[in-house]
Amino acid sequence: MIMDATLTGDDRVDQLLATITRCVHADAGVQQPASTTSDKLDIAIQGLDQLVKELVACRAAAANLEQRFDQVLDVVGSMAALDFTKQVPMGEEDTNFDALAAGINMLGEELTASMVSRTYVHNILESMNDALVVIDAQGMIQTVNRATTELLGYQKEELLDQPIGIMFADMDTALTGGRAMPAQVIQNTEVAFKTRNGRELPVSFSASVMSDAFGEHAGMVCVAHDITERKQAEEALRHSIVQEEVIRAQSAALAELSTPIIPITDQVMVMPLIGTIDSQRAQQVLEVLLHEIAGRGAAVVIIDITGVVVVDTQVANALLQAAQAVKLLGARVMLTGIRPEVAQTLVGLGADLRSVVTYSTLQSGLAVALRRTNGAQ
Amino acid sequence: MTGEEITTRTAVIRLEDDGIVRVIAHPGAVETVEDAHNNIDAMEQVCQGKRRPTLVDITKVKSQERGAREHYTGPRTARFQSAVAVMINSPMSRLLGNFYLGFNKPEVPIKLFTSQADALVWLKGFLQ
Repeated sequence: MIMDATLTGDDRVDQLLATITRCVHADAGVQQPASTTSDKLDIAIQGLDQLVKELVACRAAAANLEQRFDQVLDVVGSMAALDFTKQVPMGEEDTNFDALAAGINMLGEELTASMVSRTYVHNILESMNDALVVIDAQGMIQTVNRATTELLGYQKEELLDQPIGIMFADMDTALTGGRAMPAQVIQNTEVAFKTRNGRELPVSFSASVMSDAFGEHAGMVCVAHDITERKQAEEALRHSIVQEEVIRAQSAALAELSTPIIPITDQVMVMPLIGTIDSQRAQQVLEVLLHEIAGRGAAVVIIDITGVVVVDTQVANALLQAAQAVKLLGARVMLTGIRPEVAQTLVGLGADLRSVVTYSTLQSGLAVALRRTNGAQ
Repeated sequence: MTGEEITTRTAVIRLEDDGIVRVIAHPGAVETVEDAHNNIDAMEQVCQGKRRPTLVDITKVKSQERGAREHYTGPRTARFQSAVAVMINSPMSRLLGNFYLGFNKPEVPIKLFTSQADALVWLKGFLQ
């Protein structure tokens, strides 16, 4: 009543009430109109209470929003540092902010998946022993792996955005046909790469067309395998084959020289042996001897061993075998050039040379042979 | 004649008389990979061996695992779906729908709608 009396007629009460009413949310239910000043003040107090509640709620919402923004910032910051493990906490309501949080989380999941794939593919490419080069539709290098930089001696940055031709020793090869880049699929074509210091490297080169999502030509994926070692091995093999052929020819010539057979007459032939006679040469002597006797129809063959350094059991047996084989062909063998120390050795070895006619010198043996064959004629 | 209706943990799936399959997610559905498996099984069943246009209402979905989205857009669904119209009337469903247009694009035509009537008109063009 005191207030009513004091404030009666004070139009500021009406102004206060009008201001509070405007501030209070329309659906908050502030009662009006009121007739007395006391009623008006009650309504004002009620409105102020409502305003306080709204302010408290607003502050709580602002604090909550601030906290959620901090959470979003934290997650986005982690993503920028390539840490995709954090997620923005989700609210219970389907608000725009919840959708924003969900969107960030989902993007994080997608980035995780693509980063894992990217790292996986990157590791594969970097682990390759062969050079891998990706070029765009204009033939400019877009990707190179470790093997490429090691092979060519370039830094990665020196190759990127350069024309593919920088890698080839000859751009006018059949590979490119003078174009900026290969236009077709290439499989294991031998071409020469050019290193940073100008050295040429033989490589086995393959390339295939890369298409984009719309099926358009997007470039090519090229793989090159260094075949320097293979080339060297092939060269070495070629060289060794040539060498082998030379050695074989020399051996044949030597064999021919080591088993010479000299026809003296139609009936008499001489085979002077020089050097060492091993089992292989003994076999060769036998073959040549029989072949020549059969071919020429000779009656006497003089084997002269004046030049044979060592006569052992093996040589003695070879000579005996030769004599027996010659005999089967209807001819005879004379052994000449038996030096004293050889005679001594043969006796020491117990070689049975009874089936062989022997003479100390070629001259004496030849004389006898000619005489006998002349007589026979 | 309405076809078979299957209710899974996260959705109701049925074939309507117009030949269009409805997939209506439960309010607050949180879809896991297993849910996606089950829903795909159910969709295939109601399609009865025929490729059909499908109306997917995800307006009430709360969240969906990445693996679930991958399953929904994998090659298997293309065997029984001819087109997909996605209803988006909430912030979350709008977001999910856009993931289906980008990161998780299916092998069949897909379009986002806020009007079911418009969605059905579009889907009728894919009836076989």
